[in-house]
Amino acid sequence: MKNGERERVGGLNGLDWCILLLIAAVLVGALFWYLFRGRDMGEEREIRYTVRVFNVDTSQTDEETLRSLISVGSTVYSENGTAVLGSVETVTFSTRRIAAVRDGSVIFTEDKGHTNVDVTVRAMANAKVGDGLRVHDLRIAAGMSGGFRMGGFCAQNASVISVEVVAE
Amino acid sequence: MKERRGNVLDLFLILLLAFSLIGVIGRMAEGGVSSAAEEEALIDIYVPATEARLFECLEIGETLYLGSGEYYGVLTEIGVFPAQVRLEKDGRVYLGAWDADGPKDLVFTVRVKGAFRDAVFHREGRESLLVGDGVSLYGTRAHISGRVSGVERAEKD
Repeated sequence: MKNGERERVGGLNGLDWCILLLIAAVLVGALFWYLFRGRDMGEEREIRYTVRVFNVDTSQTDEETLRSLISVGSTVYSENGTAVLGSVETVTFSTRRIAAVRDGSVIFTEDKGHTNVDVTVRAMANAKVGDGLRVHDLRIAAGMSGGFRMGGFCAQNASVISVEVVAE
Repeated sequence: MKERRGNVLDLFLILLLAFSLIGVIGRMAEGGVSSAAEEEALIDIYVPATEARLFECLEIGETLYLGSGEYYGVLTEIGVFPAQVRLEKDGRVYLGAWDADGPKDLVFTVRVKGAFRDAVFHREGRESLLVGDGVSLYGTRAHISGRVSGVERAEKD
C-alpha cells in the first residue's frame, strides 16, 4: 500500500449498491403486485335494473299519485341522497297477493288495499371481476335490498329484483 | 491476515432469505398451497320465497364470490320450486304452495374446493361448511343469501 492511501476495510462498493437497489426494486414491485393483484380498473357498462317497492298502501297514495311522484326520467338517489343511482325508465304496478286459510285449505287472494311498485332504472355501472356492478360505489345486484329515493318518492326497504346489462 | 467480517449487504441478504422462508412456511400453514389431495364438494344453498327473476340473473358455470371479493365456487345448478306456505289457524297447521305467478323457493348448487376432514367439509382448508350455515354470495348481477341445505362430495371430472 502506498503512502497516503487509506486501506479500504469493509463497507459497500458500487456493485453492492447496485445489487441492493435491484433487490429493493423487486421487493417493492412484488409488494404492489400482491396488493393490487386481480384488481382491474373496471369497465363502464350501461345497466337496467328493476327495484320493487313492496306493499304500498294505495288507500293513502293511489297509482296515479305514485306515477306523478315517480315520473319517467326522474333521478334515482341512494337513501341518504348522496349518490345518483340512475334515472327512472318505467313504472309498473303489480297485484299483491296474500295467503289465507279458507274452508280448510290455503288460498291466495288479491290484497286490494296494497300494491307492489316496480321501477325500472337505467344507469351507468362500473364492472369489475369479483366485484359485480357498482353505481357510484354501491353494488347493484338482484336479491339485494336497500333504500332508494326515486323522484318524489322515498322507499326505505325496496328490493332489486332483476339486473341486466344493456350495452357494453 | 485481515479478518473477514460481514457487511451490510450480507446482513440484508440473510434477512431476505429468512423472511422468504417464514412467508413460505406461513402460506403452507394457512393452507394456501394446493395439494394433490384437494377435493370438491357440491353445496346446496336454499333461498326461500324469493322473486323468481333472481335466478335469471345467474348463469350456470358462473363464478361466485364472497362479499370481500374472495373466490368461493362455481354455480352448477339452479333448482326452482313453488314457494311453500305454512299457516296456522285455530291451532291447526295448513300447508300450501304458491302458483306459477307467486314467489319461488330456489336451491343453488355450488361446486366448492376444499377438503373433507372427519366427514366435515372445509372450504379451501379453512372454515367448515355445515348444513344450516348462512351463506352470502355474489355473482355478477345477483346476490344469493340463504342457508346451506346440503353438502355432498363431488365426483371428479
